[in-house]
Amino acid sequence: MGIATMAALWMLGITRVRTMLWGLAVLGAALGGLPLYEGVSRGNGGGVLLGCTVIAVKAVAVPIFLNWNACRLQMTRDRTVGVGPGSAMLLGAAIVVLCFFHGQRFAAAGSSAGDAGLSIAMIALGLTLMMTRRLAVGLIIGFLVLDNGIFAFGFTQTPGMPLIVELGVLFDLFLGVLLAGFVLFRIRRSFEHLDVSEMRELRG
Amino acid sequence: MNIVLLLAACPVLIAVAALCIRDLRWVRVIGATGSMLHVCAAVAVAVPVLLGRPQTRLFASFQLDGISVWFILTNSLVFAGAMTTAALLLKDPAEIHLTERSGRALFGLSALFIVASNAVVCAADLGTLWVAMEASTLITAPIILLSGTRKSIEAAWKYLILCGVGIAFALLGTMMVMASAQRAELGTMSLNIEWLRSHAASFNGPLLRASFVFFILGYGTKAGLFPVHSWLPDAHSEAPAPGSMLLSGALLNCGMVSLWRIGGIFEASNSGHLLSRLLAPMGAVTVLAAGLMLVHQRDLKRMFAYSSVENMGLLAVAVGFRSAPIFALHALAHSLAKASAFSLSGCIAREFGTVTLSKLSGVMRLSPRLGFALLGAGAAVMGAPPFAAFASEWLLLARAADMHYFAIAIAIVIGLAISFVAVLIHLGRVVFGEKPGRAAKSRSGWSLIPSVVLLVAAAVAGIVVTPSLLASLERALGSGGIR
Repeated sequence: MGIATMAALWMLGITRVRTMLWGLAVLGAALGGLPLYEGVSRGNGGGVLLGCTVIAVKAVAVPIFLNWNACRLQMTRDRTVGVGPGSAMLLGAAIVVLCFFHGQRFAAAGSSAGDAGLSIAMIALGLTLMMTRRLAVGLIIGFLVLDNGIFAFGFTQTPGMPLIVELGVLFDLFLGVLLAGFVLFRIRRSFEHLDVSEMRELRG
Repeated sequence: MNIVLLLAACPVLIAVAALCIRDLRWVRVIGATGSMLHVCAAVAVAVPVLLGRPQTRLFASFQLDGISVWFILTNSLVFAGAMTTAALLLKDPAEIHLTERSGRALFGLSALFIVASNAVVCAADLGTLWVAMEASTLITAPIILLSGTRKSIEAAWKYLILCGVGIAFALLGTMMVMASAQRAELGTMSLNIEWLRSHAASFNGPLLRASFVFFILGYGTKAGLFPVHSWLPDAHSEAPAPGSMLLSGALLNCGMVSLWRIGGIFEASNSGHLLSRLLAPMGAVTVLAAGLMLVHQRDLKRMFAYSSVENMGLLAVAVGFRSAPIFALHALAHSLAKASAFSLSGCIAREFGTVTLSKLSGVMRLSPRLGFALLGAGAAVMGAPPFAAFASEWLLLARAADMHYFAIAIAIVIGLAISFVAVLIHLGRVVFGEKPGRAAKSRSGWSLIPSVVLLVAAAVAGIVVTPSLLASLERALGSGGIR
């Protein structure tokens, strides 16, 4: 959990797209490690399957796909809107500390309050990432961080959704990223840039 | 059971046909007939359930109760309207800025979308509900993209990101509901809506209330409630006309049905006051805000889209008051009227080459039939008698006054009045304006049929509403999962 939150915090402070994708992969691997570890230590086949799928999708498939996209579209650096990377990171650290100490408000009966706080912090970090990035890829990455936070909350605070629902969620996520990548190409082709803050044709 | 399978099989067949058959003419024929078949199947499924036969439990986590069959019926009517409109408008796809290929994609994606939205209204547990909802988002995004203009790409991007975040919040809400269960219940814990209803009273209050906020944000984004509605006008105005019909008539309802189901859980818990204190005021604010935004519209489809926002506000108030008949009646009324309006916007776009309000003028002179249909659709959308929206809006106001929510009633009245005048002025200019229009010959004969049929259906639904019918409707809708 700690590793995952640190990765999310780290991503707030960097602007190179490829480094951000590395952060995303570390985050996904750390999250996939949770069910995998629990599955192995309890001999639970479902947990192992879920852990492997999470790692395969969140830590391998999605970052590789986005990286391929970023290379094709020649995006290397993202810029920030409003606050710079340094202050965004400071803001993120404040969010993490705040959420960690108020975690018991979100914690389920009999679960760790720290984990609950960190998951909520990860969701907030994802939102911050989405709000402070200019390029469309930055938005997608922020969204994925947010989604990872929700997954972490679900895994640590609930007895677990039915496995089939969890897998359905992962599949949907994967499809969504594919689709968003496809839309990126279309944006590039007709706008000749990927700067979301410059997209303002629709008004009223 | 077999008929229920037909509900899924018809659209899937249409989608397969759209994928395999290269000739758009055949796809159009198959799409229109398949959607008619879908309506027949929906009626065959809905009537027994509404007449009070015991509810059917479908495989896994789907159910057929009063609310779900009612919305299957609504969905299938809108779907049939959209498919016939598409079949008629796509005679020459270039006229509405589509290619042969994107025309076929329109048929296929619409058919898949209707499967997803039927799954949403039938879902018996929160997990399935969420997955079906996400599927419907992913299927509709390409529909918005079909015309391939810069505006449509921007709209699709906005839609994907906003609804993606929204639906992620809904997932967080689902997980918070699970986390709020007490320890003793964890053994039998499930996401089944009935189970949650029966155990909701003992849940952890603060966490449950927090989850409600996330549900409103999440599914409210899909439904287009006020502060989180901003994707809606863009998506509705940029999608091709049949796509807008489906978005407005079926997709928004899916969001509202989800809120209705979740409202059922909260009604049974200790936090039931959230419904009338949070959701209903939010709906009233939506009505008011949409009314104000309707005033300065420059685009016919955007105008209808803002009117959808307004109607979703009314539905949210109905959900907040937990009034099943008003909710169901208004949803049906809005879906029929709005599908008809968007279908007409397709005809206008084809004949005049634009839907910008300032460039449209004198429709009545150029094509009296189109003019009358447009006036009728405007009346139906704004809830003028004899259309069904009049009855449901009236009932909703009476209900708000009965429950002593006068602030909500006043906000709704002001919002409705402003929007009525605004739409009347905009449509009046379009229909009766004197400026010479640029259209040549009128070709709207056959393509008006779907919208006129939908309008007649809306009028009939408005005329047959009587107190005794409402009482039996309440019983019928309560026959299933949510009482």
